Amino acid sequence: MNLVTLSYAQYFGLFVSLSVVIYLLGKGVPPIKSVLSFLSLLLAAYLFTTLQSTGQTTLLLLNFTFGIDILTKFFVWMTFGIAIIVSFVLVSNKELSPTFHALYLINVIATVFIFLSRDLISFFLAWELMGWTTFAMIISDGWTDKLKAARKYFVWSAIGAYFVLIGFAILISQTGYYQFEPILAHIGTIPTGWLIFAVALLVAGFGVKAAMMPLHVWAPDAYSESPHEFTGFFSGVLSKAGIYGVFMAFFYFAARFEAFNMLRIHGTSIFGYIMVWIGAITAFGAALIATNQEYGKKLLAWSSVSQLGYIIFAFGIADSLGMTGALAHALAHALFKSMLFIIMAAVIMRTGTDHLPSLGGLIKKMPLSFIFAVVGGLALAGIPMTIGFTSKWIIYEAGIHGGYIFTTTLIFAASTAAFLYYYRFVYSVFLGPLHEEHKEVKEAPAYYWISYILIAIPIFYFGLYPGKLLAIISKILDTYDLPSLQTYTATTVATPLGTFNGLLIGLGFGAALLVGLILYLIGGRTKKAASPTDKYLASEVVTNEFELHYAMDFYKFLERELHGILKISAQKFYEFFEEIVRFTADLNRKLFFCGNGQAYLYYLTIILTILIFAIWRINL
Amino acid sequence: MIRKLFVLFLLVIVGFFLASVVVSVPFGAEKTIVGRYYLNNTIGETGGVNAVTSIVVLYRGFDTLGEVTVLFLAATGLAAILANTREKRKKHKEKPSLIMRVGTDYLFPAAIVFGSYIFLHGHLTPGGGFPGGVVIASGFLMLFLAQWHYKADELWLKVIESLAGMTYVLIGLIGLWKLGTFLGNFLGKGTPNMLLSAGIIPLIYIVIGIKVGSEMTGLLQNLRETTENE
Amino acid sequence: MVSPILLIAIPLFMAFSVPLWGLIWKKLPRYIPFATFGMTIAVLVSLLPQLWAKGVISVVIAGVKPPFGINLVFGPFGAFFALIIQIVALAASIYLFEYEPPEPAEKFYMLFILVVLGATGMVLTGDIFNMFVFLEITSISSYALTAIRKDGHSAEAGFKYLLLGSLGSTLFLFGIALIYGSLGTLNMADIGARIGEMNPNLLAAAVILILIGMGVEAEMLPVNGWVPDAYQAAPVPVVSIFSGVVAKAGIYALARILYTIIGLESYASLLLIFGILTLLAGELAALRQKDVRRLLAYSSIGQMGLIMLAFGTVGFTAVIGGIFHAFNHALAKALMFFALGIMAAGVGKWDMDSLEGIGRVKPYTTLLFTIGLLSTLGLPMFSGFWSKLLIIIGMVNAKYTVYASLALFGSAVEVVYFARLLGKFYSSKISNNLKDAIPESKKIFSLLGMTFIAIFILAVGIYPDALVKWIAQGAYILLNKATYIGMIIGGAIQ
Repeated sequence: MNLVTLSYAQYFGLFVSLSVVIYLLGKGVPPIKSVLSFLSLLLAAYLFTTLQSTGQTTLLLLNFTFGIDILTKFFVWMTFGIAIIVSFVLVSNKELSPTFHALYLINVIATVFIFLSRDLISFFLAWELMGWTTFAMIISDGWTDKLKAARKYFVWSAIGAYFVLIGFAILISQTGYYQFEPILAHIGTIPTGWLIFAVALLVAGFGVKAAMMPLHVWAPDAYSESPHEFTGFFSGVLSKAGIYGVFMAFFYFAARFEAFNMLRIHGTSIFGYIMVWIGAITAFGAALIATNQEYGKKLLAWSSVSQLGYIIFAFGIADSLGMTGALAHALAHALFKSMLFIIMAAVIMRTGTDHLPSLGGLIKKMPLSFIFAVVGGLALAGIPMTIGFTSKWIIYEAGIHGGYIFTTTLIFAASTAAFLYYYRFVYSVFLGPLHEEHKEVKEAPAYYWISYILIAIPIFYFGLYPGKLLAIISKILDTYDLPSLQTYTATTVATPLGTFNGLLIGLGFGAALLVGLILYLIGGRTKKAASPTDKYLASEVVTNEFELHYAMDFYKFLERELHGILKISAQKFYEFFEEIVRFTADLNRKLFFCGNGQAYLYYLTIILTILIFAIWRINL
Repeated sequence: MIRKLFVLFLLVIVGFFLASVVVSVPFGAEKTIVGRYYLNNTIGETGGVNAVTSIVVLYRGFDTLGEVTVLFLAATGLAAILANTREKRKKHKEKPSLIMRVGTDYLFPAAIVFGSYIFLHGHLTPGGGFPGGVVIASGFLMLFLAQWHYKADELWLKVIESLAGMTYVLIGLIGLWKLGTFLGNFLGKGTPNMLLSAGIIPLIYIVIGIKVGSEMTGLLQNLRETTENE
Repeated sequence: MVSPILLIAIPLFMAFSVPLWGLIWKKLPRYIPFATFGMTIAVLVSLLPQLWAKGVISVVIAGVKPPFGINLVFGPFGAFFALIIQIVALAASIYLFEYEPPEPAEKFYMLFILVVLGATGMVLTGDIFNMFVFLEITSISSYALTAIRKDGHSAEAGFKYLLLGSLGSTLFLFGIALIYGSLGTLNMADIGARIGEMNPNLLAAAVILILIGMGVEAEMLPVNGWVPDAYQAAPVPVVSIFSGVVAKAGIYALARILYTIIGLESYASLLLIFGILTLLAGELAALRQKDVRRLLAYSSIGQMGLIMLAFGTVGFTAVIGGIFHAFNHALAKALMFFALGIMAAGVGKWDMDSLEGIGRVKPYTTLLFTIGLLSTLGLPMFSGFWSKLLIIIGMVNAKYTVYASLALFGSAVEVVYFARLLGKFYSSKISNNLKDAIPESKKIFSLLGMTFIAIFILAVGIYPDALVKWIAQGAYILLNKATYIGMIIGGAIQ
């Protein structure tokens, strides 16, 4: 029996008012703000369990509909889990303003409401709310160098939201309803062209948030410039709202529509095929770029873009394997990426920088952080015994099974690149020689390593017992009448191409790691650490301009080989477009607002004449 | 040059179109429903024999109130913009002749009386508050032209103007209070053709006459002082 | 007895009386606008129960029934616009408490009251010539208020406004003359009932002339060149009146004339074309603008374009959105200008770079500015969200998807420049001009008034229902010409 029963509107209102309380109290008693926001999130998570499975609120003559099903729960618990852990870490950060904490609470609640809403209007409301609160959080610190990134994020998120809005408006105008259920019932009445247009707009709009190439340009900047602890939530969870949106647009609405499914070439949905390609290119391209980053947060940010590409790729395949893999990887990415970003935040907190060549050797100072960085890295690279292996395995199988030979190759290559950049990250930060100025660095506070452990538990659990995860996902897919994977037990997953026992390989792999560690402890220690000025000099010409540090130009050789590919930049295209808009804007201003009264009268005469001609023709 | 010709060309087109359209307006035809109604009912409804006046003050009295406000605005706006720009006064080279000075002394009261006559008889004869006020102001204009040192007292002008405007609104409000309609004719219609007839029409015309007179005077005074400092 | 006529009679009386108050105490005129609009709001609110009961309150003047006399129509549509106007005016008059008026102060207050009076008259009148008279009152006082500061710049701005404005009113009058000439009546409902008798070419000419003429006040594209100059030159409280009162009265008049009098959808959709052009021109012009006042002026043009688009759509949802957006824009722009006035006080410069980091120096005022800005952008939790949403959905509903997309492109541009503005304001790098600025303004009343507007924006953003029910009635009346005509001509006359 629940202590309280709140309606959805009350739930929303409660936490919005709580955020105001946090803001006001935080102004007066600064330390209280972070504790309060942590407690509020706990309360939010608790009260979420008491919510009824459906609910309605009438506002603006509209009937807002909310509901909870297994998919909602999957995403909401992912959101709450990461949000609470991040907020726990934030308790140790005294610098963030009360505005930030207040906005954070609204942001989390808005994200939850994206998953709860069962009508287009409240969905859009929550979507926009999430967008602008994130922007406000980034700028609430007011660092001048962040503003550009924040602005880019804000503009892109507005563009995405406007795509979504038009897509929604088309759905509403074509069916006459705005709730999910009746739209679904009337989806057959929409002309095919309109539906395709609407779904394309929706996928593009949500794709912005899901950092789908070529709509990803905001993501690396925004992820790397947002407040460090928050980035874990930003990159891990907020991007999943985009994934959720793509899922709803594509599988909830469009896939139920027969005419839409008829758009096939050789049995493959055209839409799906495009998504497979976009996903694969995103995964591979972003991974390559990530290998060439000099800043830790930028590197992880590009890695996020790459990992989101995997999810898009798997969605595009759209069979039982693909859907399962996509949802599994959504969770996996949320877990390991938030972990890595929190570790990055810890490193930045202790050393003040995320510039990789300025770091190094922190393994001795921050051993716990190192261990969990390895855990996160294992998951990221898809090494057995972690959740990353489960999800990536299924995605690979989906690709191979679906016959997407070339794109799957790209995905494989992306995985290799992931290993490269992850290696760069962990090596530059934790291994190698310690810098002079980092002699006094301490391990991250307990807040951090408690959160590491909290995140590591599901990473290992779902890695060793993949069936537990697949059970949830299959239930989701069954609820939505989508193809689901049925051949699994708690530890084994049987797929068309092979079966794996997560526990068994996990333990085997763990054992191998253990052996390696023992060998290292016995024999490896005798090796002398390299001097800070050592550098891998093969085929490199040493000049005086560069500091001879091993983390400088870590993958110089790769960069040289991939020069041509890296030069293809979506950024440049947008800059070109921006230039055109700017030119038009100036032209327009000089033309219509030139400040010359005579010119205004001139325009008046012209417009009068034009109107006369226009109307004359109508009436004569 | 080309631009000018082009504009000219456009204006010809616009003009041609408007002309071709205006031709089809049945101006002067008896068709105007409203006009016929006014002509047939003026005396019976308002007691004023001058139909134009009745229309201006009663049927469309609200517009007149607006027009009074517009005039007030023109004067106020001008004064506001020209304020503080009239410090220097230029020396005049030639004084007006004695005849002018003495003549205006005698003509001034006559102009005031004539102006008052016009607005007092507005409901009987052609004329009304606006022309009456302008005639009064023309009396002041004569003084401005002929007697350089003459200056109307701005404070009094201001107060008169204000009071007149407020009285106009008050008359309207009394109508609202007594008859339930703003500017309602709360006085008796009286006998047509008599001075004391047509209800509130003479009252309003007096107010308008005073207001217009003081406004125009103030306006002229402002203009005179600013043009002189050129 | 309370009658809508008081909404006009009270300000008129007070405006005439300002010099007399000045004789009593030199500072008294400063509080007259507040007293005036306090009274008008009280009148307006006390009329509402009657409005809900009757559907429309039509008041005849001088006891002559329309079409022979002039009537005021206090219907849901007009009354809502009257409310917008009174709220903005009241807020601006609170702001005037602590605002050093340009000399001569008395005349400034008179003009200030009269511009609001004119706009109120425009939205309440049921007679088209009377609308012209009130248009004249509004525009002439606006010219004077633009030029009142007497520096070269404001004189120039005032002159440009005068040039376009007087031409506009002339065209408008010409349009009325054509209608009167052929139908012989001036009452809007009566004209609306007989519009079919008009020669179509003549009607077309009248529509063009009225559209362009009224477009000057509504900030429509080819005739809105005065806007940036006037917004830059006029005193701050006056600028809020321009965007919150004058422009709103202009758009009301356009909608009323095109819907109720002309009532032909082909003409209403002219607004669609002009709306999208206005919107794009305004938003694009703002993109690279450095002076914040000009930027807000361009943004105001863009918002007016959006409202025109909504009215041009001729659909219930979009029209509700349009009316609602007029309300939101009026409040948000007024709030932004008030806040900007306080932020820039003591700095003397109004460009973005001079105000860089103001959010750190005057956090509260900047927060208020930000609330107005976010509402203009149409972000959720702020009232602007709902209106923009309704407009876009309404437009797509009416199959104007291309227009909706272009409008959203304009919105995206808006996001760009507003984000840049916010970035500048909240930058941690503080401009040299602000180094010795006073931390937070001591203008208690202004801040209090602004806080009320901000709370109102947030309250409407969270719970827009009460307002939208009213707006929906207004939209219904607007879209159903026959209902309006029946209410005015057929009865319901007090």
